[in-house]
Amino acid sequence: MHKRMVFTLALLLTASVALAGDSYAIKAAGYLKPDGSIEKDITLLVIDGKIGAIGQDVSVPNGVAVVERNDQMIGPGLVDVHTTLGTNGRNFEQANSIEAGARAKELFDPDHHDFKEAAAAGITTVIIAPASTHLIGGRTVVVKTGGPREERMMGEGPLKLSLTQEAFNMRRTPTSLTGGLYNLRQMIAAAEKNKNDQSAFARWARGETHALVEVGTPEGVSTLAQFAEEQGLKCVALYANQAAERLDDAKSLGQPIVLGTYEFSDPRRYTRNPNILAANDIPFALTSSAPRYQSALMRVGAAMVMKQGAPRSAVAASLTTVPAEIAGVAKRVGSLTPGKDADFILYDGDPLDLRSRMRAVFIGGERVYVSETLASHDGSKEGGKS
Amino acid sequence: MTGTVSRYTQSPIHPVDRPPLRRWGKLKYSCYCSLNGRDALTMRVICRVILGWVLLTPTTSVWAQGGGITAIRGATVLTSSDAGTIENGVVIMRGGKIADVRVSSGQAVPPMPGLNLIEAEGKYVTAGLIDAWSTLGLNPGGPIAPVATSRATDALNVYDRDAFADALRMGVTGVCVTPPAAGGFSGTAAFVRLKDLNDLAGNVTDDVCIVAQVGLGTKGPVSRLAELKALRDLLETAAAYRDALDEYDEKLEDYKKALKDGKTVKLTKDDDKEKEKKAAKKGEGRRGRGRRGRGRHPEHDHEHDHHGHTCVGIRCCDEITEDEFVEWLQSLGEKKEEGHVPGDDIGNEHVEYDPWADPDWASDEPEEKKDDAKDKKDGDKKDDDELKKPDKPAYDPVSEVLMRAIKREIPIRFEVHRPGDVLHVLKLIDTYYLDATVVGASGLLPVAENVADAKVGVIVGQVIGSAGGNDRSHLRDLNLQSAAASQHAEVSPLVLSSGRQGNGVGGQYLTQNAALAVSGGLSEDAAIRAITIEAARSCKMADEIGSLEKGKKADVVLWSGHPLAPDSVVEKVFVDGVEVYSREGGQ
Repeated sequence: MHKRMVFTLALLLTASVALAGDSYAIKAAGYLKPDGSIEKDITLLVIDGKIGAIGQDVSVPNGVAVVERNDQMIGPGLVDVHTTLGTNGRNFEQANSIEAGARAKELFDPDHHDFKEAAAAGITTVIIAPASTHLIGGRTVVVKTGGPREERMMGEGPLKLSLTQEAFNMRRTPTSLTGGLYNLRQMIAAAEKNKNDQSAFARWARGETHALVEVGTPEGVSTLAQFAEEQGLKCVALYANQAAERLDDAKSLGQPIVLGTYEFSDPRRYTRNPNILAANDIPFALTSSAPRYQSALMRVGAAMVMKQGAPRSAVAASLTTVPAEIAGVAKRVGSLTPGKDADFILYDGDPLDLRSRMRAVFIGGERVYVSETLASHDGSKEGGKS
Repeated sequence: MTGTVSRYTQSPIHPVDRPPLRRWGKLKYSCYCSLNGRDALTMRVICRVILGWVLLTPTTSVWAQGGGITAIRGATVLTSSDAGTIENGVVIMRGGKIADVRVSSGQAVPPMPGLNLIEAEGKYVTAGLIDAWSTLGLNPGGPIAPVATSRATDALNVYDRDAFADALRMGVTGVCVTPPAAGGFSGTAAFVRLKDLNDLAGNVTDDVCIVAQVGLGTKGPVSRLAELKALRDLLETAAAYRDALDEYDEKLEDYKKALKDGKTVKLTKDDDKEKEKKAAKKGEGRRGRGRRGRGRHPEHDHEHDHHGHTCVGIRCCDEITEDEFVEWLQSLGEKKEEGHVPGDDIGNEHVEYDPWADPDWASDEPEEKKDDAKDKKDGDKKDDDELKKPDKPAYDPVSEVLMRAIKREIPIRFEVHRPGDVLHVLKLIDTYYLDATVVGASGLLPVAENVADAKVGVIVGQVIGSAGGNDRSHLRDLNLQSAAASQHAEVSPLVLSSGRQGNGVGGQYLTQNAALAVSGGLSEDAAIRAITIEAARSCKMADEIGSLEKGKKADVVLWSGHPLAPDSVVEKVFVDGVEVYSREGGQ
C-alpha cells in the first residue's frame, strides 16, 4: 500500500514535467459527462489551455505528449456560485443598505490563500459576492481560483440582493422587508423610465438579466416569487434550502435555485429538497459559501443529496453546468466540452463518489493542485506539490 | 424490488393475515417433500422448530417479538466479523437473533409459512450501523457545565422522532448518545437502540461510558493546567474513595466475624497498618492511599433529627468522632499533646487528652453540646471492651462514578484534540490504568504512533468539519488526516462517528463519513468495521451487536448497492429481526 502510494507520487512528479507543455493528452479510465453518466476509456486532448477533444476516439496529433492515467477518471472543475473568497471581510458596507453600484471585483485579494483552498477542493470557478447584509449588495465577480493571475478574472457576474433578516436593522433604512421592497419598487420604476441606463441594476430591473437574491426561509421564496412576478424580474433564489416546501413559488421563479451549504449535521428536511426539486424539473446549484464553510463541503453536499435520493444527473449538473449558467460563464466552463477551458479534476474513481480522492486539479490546462499521498502522513515525505 | 416469494410476505410483525392453523399440517408436509439443498435443509430444520413453537403458542405476540424466519439471500454480505465479505451470501434471522450467515446455495426455496425470503442479488447486507459518538436526540440548549454525575439520558429527547427516523433510514440502528463537552468529566453516555421509535426510552442502556474532555473551550496554558489537574485530582479522590470503601468492607468483615465468634475484637493500630499494606498491593490502579475522609457518617447525605434540631450535610453538630477532631486540630496547626501523636488513640482505650476541654473549641460550642460530648466520650470508654462497628466512608457521588472507571468496570472516553493534549491524556490513562478511548483526536497525526503503542482506541468525528472560518483553513481535513494516520499507525480500534454536532442530529451520514475516510486512505473494509463492530466494541456492545454473526442480535441493513457508494440507498432495516424500516413503505 505504502509503496504503491510512493510510486504514484513519483508518477505524478514525472507527469508534471510532461504536462508543462502547451498541449498534451491524458488517457483516463473515464470522464463525467454533463448528464452525470460516465464515458469509459477516454482521451482528453488539451490544446493551449482549452479542451481540444474528449472521448473514446480522439486522435492525438504527432508531437503531443500522452499521459497514461488509466486508473483515474476526469471530472469538470466545479463552479461555486456564492463565495466571499479573499475578501477578508471587506465585502460589507455598514452605513448603506442599498449599494447597487458596488462592485465585488474591487474587493478581493487574488493572492489570498482562500483560493488555494478552493482549488484544492476542486472548485475552479467562483462567484465572489458582496455580503448578505445589504438589500442590494452590488455586482458580483466571476473568477478562477488558479492559473495565471492576469487570466483569472472572467468578468462581472449577476447583481446580488438579500431579503434576509441580516439585511435589515434599525441603524439604517430600510429597516424592514416591506420597506425594502418599497424602495426596490421605486428604484425599478425609475430604471424602467431610463432605457439608456445600462447599469447592472437597471438591466435587472428591466428583466434583461438575472440577479442572485438571498432568501433563506421558505416564506422568503414566496415573497420573492410574488415580487418577481409583479415586476417581471429574473431572480435566482439563494440559500432556498426549503424551496420544495413552496414548490409552486419556486417553479414560478423560472430560474435555478441555489442550495447550501450542506453539512452532515443537516436534518433530512433540508437535504431531501433537491430530490423534490429535481422531480419537478427545477434545476438547482450547490454552493459551499466558502470561506465561511469549507470548500470541500460542496462535493460532500452533492453526495449527501444523492444519498437522499436526488438523481445523479441533477447532482452532477448542480456542481457544474447549472452554476456556470448562473454565473454567465457557461460558454467557457462547467463541462468537458471541446472549446471550453481545460478546467478539470483527476479522481481515482467516480467523481461523484466520496471514496474517490482528488489526485490533481487543473485550471486552463495548468495543474494548480496535486494531492498529498499517505506517504506524507507519517511526516517522512512531503507531498508532491509542484 | 425486494422479491419476496412467500405467499405470506407480510412482515412478521403483522400477524393478522396468518393462515388458519388447520392448514399448517399440510403445508408442513409439502415443505418437507419439496426441499433440498443446503438452504433448504437449514430452512427445514428451523422451520420445524418454528412450526412446533408457533403451534404450541398460538398467540400473536410470538410474531410481534420477531418470530418467524427472515432470510436475505443472494446479496454481498459485509459481515464485519472474521468471515469478512461473503459474496452471494444468505443471512437468516430467527427469534430476533441471527441464526446463520453463510454462502447461499442458490437452491430454489418454496414458500413456507412464517418465512420471509428476500431475494437480494446485486445488493449488500451489513450489520446495523452504530454511531459511537453522537449527540442525536440531545437538543440544543444554553451553556451548561455538566459534571461526572450527569447522564446523557437526562437530556435525551426521545420524542424527537424525526431525528431518530432520519438516522434509522440511513441504516443506523444504535447510537451512543454522549453528553456535550464542557471540559473535565461531563457524565456518562447512554446507548440507544432504534428498535421502536415510539419507545426509544425502552431501549436505552445507561452508563455506557464516562466522558471527559481536555482542552476544549479553554484559552491558554493556565486553564489547561487547571483542567488536567482537576481531572487528576478527581481520579485521585476516586482511587482513595475506593480504598476507603475496600478498607471499610474488610473491617466490616472482621466485625461480622468477631460478632459471630462472640469475641470482643478491637482493631489496633498495627492491624490497621497491615491492612493498608495489603490493600496497597491490591489492584494496579491504586496510587497510594488517599486521606481518610473527615466526615464519615453513614447518614451524611440525609437530614436527620438530632437532639431536637435538624442536622444537614457533612458535619452533624455533636456526632463528631475523635479522629475527625484530631484531623481538624492538625489542619489548624494545633499544638499536640507532648509526646503524643494525634490519631494514635483512634480505637485505643487510653485517650490521653481531652479535646472537649480545649477552651477555643469549647467557647464555640453551646453548653448543652459539651455535655453531650462528654456523655459520648464516656460511652466510648464503656464500649472499648465491646465491639465497635466500623464507620462507612462518606458517600461521594462523583467518586462513585469515577471509581467504576478506576476499577475498569466502565470505559472512559477522553475527548481531546491537540496532539500535546493527547499525550497528556495517554499518561493519565496509563497512570490510572483506565479502559480508555481517545475521542475527537483531530490532531492525531503527529502522535498516532504513541496512541497505537498505548493500545488506546480512537473515535474520530465527522471527517470534514464545518469549521471553515476565515482563519481556520489550516484545520482543513484534520479528521481525515487522523483517520488515515490512525490506520497507518495501526491504531485499534478506529471508530468513525458523527461526533459532537450540537443540534440534536447525527448518524445520518455515517456511510458518507466513512467514504471520505476511504478517500483519505482508509481501506473500505476498515471503514465499514469502523461504523459497525468497532463502534459496538467502543460501547462494550460487541457481544450482542455490531456484526453479522450467528447468535448476535439481528440488527441487519439491506442496501441497494455498496453502503459507501454515493447512490446506494437503504432498502430495509431490521432490529432484533423485526423490520423497522422499508424504503417502499416509508418514503
